[in-house]
Amino acid sequence: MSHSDTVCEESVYTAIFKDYANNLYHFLYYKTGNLSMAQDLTQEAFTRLWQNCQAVLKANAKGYVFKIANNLLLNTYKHRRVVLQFEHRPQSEAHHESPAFLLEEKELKAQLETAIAALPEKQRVVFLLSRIDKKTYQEIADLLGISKQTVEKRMYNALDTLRQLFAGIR
Amino acid sequence: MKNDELLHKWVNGQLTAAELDRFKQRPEYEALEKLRAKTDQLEVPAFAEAQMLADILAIDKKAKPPTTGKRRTLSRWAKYAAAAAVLLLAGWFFWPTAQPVTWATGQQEQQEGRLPDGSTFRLNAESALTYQPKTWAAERRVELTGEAFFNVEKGQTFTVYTTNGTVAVLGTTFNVWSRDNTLEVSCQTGKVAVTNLAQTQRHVLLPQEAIRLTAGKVTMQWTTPANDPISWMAGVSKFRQVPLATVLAALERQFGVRIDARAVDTTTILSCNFDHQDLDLALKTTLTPLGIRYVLHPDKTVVLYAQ
Repeated sequence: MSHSDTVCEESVYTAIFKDYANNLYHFLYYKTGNLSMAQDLTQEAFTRLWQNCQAVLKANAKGYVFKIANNLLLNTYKHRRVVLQFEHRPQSEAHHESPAFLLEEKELKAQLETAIAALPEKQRVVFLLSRIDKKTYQEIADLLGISKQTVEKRMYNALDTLRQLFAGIR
Repeated sequence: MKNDELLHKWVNGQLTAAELDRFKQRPEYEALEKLRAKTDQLEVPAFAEAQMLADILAIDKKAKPPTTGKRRTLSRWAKYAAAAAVLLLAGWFFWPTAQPVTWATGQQEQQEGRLPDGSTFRLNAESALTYQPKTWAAERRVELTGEAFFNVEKGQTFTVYTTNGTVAVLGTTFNVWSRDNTLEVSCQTGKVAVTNLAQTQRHVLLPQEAIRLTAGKVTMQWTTPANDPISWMAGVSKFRQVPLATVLAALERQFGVRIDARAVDTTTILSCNFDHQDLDLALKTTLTPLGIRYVLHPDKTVVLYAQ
């Protein structure tokens, strides 16, 4: 193993961090609905990767940080209620909407967040990785270590639940 | 069903024009499209990625002992386990708990929230609610300024602290208004105990009963009609025998306007309702019976004149 291939090399480590830190952070947020926890666990997992750089192969680095974070998570977040609060992406066209409309939009967002938070965890993670991170089914399958068929099934169920929220809205 | 190929192609934007036309024929298409549009607006709040990377790289790997031999490895893992335990413990004690959680609304806003025990509340405009997650398990306690409707899950005593007194319940639905020196509580279901700040008076409300304390003293008691919805949640503000100043403040909150009332007597007592939809109508229904004229300026200022 040449030295430049090890995770201990700063450039190699930085590349891994840039590829996966945000992924891991989003994944943890989708699972827990807790931003500070997602951030802390991301930091902890990557700190361990850095400290154990000699023991971890570059090809296994992604799996390593996800595994560490998942293990830490299992110990901490059992039985907590998931609450998701996203930021609202500003819309491109300038809107001059009435306060009533804006309030309605805000409530709809809150309802959507509540509905997403109420999804079973596995469906929620798949749904958000697809819809917010714009990952393909294959990428999600690889990330979570499940089959593409499983991704399809979870996505189908999530969509089936969430679309009910929008049935009957003008 | 899970092999719904069209649906999955739609999700990933892989439909051909012909397939899209076919997909649009489905009865659930419209709801799915709205779901997509709304979800596309969601964004995960970003974190300081560059700072985190810098922090980690600043950790000196070389400070750690080299990993040779089985014994070493074992003790090293033990050390990590201990470090992780300390970290988790520290985290449990200090981080999620130290910060109180606050919901706040501005003018023209209402907001719904959920507390850790599943109790829910809805805040009216310009109101704030705070609770302390650290002590929640020991005491169901929230602090409120402004107005909120509560739906409390059954359990230990649930207490709303305000600057005008406290409201304690076991499991019920009720509305609390606390602004200036006035506390108004109406009970919808269950049983509610209202205590003034000095703790000299305690009143128990049964369903449909309502009470008003002004400066710590009971100034009014009345009953609300059965199954009467809390009016502000339906977009109507109702007042009974309150000073005009109170109604004007509510108009400012609900419509985001500023009211210049220097020319009129704001201590006049009145009862009125106004709808949150139409400012002009609200001003008319409130002010005309009092013989007050008003001018609505484009900068959202309303100036009042005595007749």
